[in-house]
Amino acid sequence: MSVSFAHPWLAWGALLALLPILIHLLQRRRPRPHPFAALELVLRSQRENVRRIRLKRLLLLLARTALLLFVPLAIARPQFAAPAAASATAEGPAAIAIVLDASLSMRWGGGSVFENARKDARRVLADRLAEEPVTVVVCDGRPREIEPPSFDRGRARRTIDEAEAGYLEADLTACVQAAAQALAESPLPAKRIFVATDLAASGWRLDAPPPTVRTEEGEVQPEVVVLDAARGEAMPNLAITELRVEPAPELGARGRAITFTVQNFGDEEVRDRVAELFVGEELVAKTFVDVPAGGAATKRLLHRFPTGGIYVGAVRLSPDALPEDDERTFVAHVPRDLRVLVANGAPSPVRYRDEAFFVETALRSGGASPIEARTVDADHLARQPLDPFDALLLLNVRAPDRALAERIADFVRGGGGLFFALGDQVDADAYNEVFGDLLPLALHVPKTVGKEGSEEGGALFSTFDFDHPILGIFSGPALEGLSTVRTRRYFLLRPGEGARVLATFDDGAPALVEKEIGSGRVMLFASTVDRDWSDWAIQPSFLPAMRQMTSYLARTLDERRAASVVLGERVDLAWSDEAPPTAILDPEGRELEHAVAEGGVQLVAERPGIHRARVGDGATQPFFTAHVSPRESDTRRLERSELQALLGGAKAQVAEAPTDGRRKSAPLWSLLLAVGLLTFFAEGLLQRK
Amino acid sequence: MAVPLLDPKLLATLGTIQLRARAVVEGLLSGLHRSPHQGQSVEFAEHKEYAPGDELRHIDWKAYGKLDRYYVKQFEHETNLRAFLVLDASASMGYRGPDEGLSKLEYATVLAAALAYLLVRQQDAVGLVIAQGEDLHYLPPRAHVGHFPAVLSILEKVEPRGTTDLGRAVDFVAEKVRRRAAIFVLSDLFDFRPQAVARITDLRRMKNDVSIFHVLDPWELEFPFEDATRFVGLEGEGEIEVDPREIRASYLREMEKLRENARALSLQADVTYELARTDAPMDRLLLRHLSQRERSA
Repeated sequence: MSVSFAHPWLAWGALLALLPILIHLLQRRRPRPHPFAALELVLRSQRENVRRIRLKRLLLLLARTALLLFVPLAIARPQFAAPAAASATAEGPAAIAIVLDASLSMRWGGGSVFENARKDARRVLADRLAEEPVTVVVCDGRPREIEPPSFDRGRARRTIDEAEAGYLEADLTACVQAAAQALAESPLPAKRIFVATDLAASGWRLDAPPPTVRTEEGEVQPEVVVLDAARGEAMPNLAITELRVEPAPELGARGRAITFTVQNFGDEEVRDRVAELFVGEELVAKTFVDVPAGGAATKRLLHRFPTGGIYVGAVRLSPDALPEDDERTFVAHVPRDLRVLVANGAPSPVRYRDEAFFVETALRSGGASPIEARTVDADHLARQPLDPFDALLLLNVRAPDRALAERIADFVRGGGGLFFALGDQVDADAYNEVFGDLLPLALHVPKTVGKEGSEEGGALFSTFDFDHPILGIFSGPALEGLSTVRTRRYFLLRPGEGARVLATFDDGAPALVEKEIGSGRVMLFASTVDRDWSDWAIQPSFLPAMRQMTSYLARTLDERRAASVVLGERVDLAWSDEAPPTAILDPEGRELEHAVAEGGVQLVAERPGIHRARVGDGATQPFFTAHVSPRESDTRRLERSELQALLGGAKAQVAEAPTDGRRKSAPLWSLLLAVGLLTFFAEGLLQRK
Repeated sequence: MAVPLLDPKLLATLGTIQLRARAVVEGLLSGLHRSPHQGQSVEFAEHKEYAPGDELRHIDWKAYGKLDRYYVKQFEHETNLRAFLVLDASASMGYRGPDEGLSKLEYATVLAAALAYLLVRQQDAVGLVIAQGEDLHYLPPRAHVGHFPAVLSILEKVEPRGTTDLGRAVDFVAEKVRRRAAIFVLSDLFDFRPQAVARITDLRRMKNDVSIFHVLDPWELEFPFEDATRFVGLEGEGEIEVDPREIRASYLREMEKLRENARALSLQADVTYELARTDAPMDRLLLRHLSQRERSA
């Protein structure tokens, strides 16, 4: 440890400290005499104060000496300089980049880790030489334009001061590389990057190469100094990393199971951590979670919603040092009760021969269905009012008279759903004539591809539109229940416009088509929904397909889309209404930037919680929920040696606090100046005493 | 002494008081020095033309016969008051502050002369005691007008010397005062022996009317010295170097203690105490003193 001066010649001013001593010595000459009558009083006063006077004189001498010693020394700007033995960085001025980690994990400890990082960044900035250009990179997961190094210290300081730890996931590897690229703008040959971070492993890509700076001499490796804002301490964290809301048939149609996974990113097992389920702000269920060290636990909480509708809720863990991932919100779409009118075109006293038997069974089964199906014979359909129903299923019904057809058309245009299943009661010409445009595609002629009663032969479904809400659930292994359906006879459909083909037979003929008419939807299955022409009714896919289809026709299926997005990721969210939302509000009510795309919106959420959409009439409705990235919840830290190797080995250094190799020094002048000021005031005070 | 005794301005001021307010000055002095044998005899003083209200029995009929005018005889009381002026002329009384002005002794001698003049004018017997340590000079009291120059002659020759010894001076005066008298002590009271000031009040126990003029220089009272100073005692106490600013507060406390002690002892013994600053107008001091005596009579 040694002391150096920025302005050594000014240190000679410390010789001024000799002045008080000289003055003291000069003043030792005998003062002029003064004959005085009240000498006895003077003697008494002197005796009374002699000790105090001596002490005061001594203190005064010291204060004056200190004042004249410290102030010139302070002006010379001395500093303690430590040996730079532990440094991996070289001496001399360098182009500097300060990377400030502002990712979610930096909020650990109530923001204390981020504040440490900010202090480290400020200190690094303050320690720079005047000839060192600096740029500051705030690594918070947002795309930023990185400025080249400059000498505008005020701007760099403002950037550091205004930075806030966000909720997003940050890629520190990318940020360091971007900082390295920015350093290429500086002509100084030495490049140095300071990274103030918590060393969370999730922020680094361990397979990435060390950062490089492209210079005229080729690519060089910058010196990298990582400043550990966690000061070497572990950062245990418990987080909800996954949450699903699923139907719970055991609780009825409006029962829901909220299944969530809690992960423990600490080295110690966590026991009896409280997890609470809130619907709105009401606590509806509570449980305790035990999570092994480094492991995960999954819990399932049940809740029966009183009515259909859109509910927002959350599962909350008792908060820890990083509370942002201790809560996961959700939007639960509980379908409203549907009323469906089933027109049976071929009733039979034998239930399994009845045209509507399988449809009724599919819609009512399990006790968990919110669908109330009422079946009438096709002959009685004319006397049935349609308005109380959400959807009308015409199963192998003969072409009705025009009046009924007109009523049905009005019903559809007014928002009702209509489903056609064909069969032997259907006459193609009569249908085309009576229903006209109500049919998605006009009927042509029936086609037979297999023998009745035979288990073999028949057409299989071939192509599917899995983007459609009805068929989306059959992607993956569930497709088997659909792809094995055999259809022996079906109507060929005439080509037309405005219809969407959801599935075809293996000969390419449309099997399931859809068309929107007015506010309503119409679907047509080219075969029967009993076992007369097809065995779909006895396949596992029939029940979910019928329910999906009914809900879709009644426009309740759209409401079930409860998107859950990860903060910081650009996502496309479907929006079924014709008019896009006028605004999307984040959990704090601020408008979120979004782009309207076909059939949805494109956005990047930056705050966790429920986001709402404002529709045309100004009302808002829950739209989606956003949650923090589980990767950022993983606060397990990298070993220093790992990080050092990642950043370039000997060219890298990991420290708990800023200890710049070149400038391992502590400024002393401010302390001296403070002491000088103190002695100045003390001297004045002593003088007045 | 360079400064003339009985400064004309002072005498003129005092005289103005006598002329303008005879009732106040003469009556006051008369009242203040009211003799215990009042009314034994009166002496004719002068004539005055009669005016309504004058007593008819005092009309001088002989003068009427000669001058054909009514004149009224006026009489003056004959007094037997004996007054002693005790002047401390020790070396400490020779102090004069750096500002030009009177030394304490000069101020005290002028004050004593003024008192003597006033007393002699009302035909009181005035005695003088000059205290200079071991040496005591004594002029016995006389009442006639020709005694005043003798008093002045002694006062003019006084030089400060010796130490302050109040006890010795008091013993001397007590010995000389055979019957009730008015005693005026003029001193800086810088006698720090125990009970030194208290000895003065002993004279009051002998039925005397005692007044103390505590003569002090403003530099002694306020101690306004700034630079380091070597103070040299006037009565052989030695010397000391001090920074006056360092001890000023303490010195002022000691001075206040000294004055307060003298004032308290005087009050306790029914002795009139007056602080006589050498920069204060003397006429006001005298008038204040006489007024105080009138109130206490």
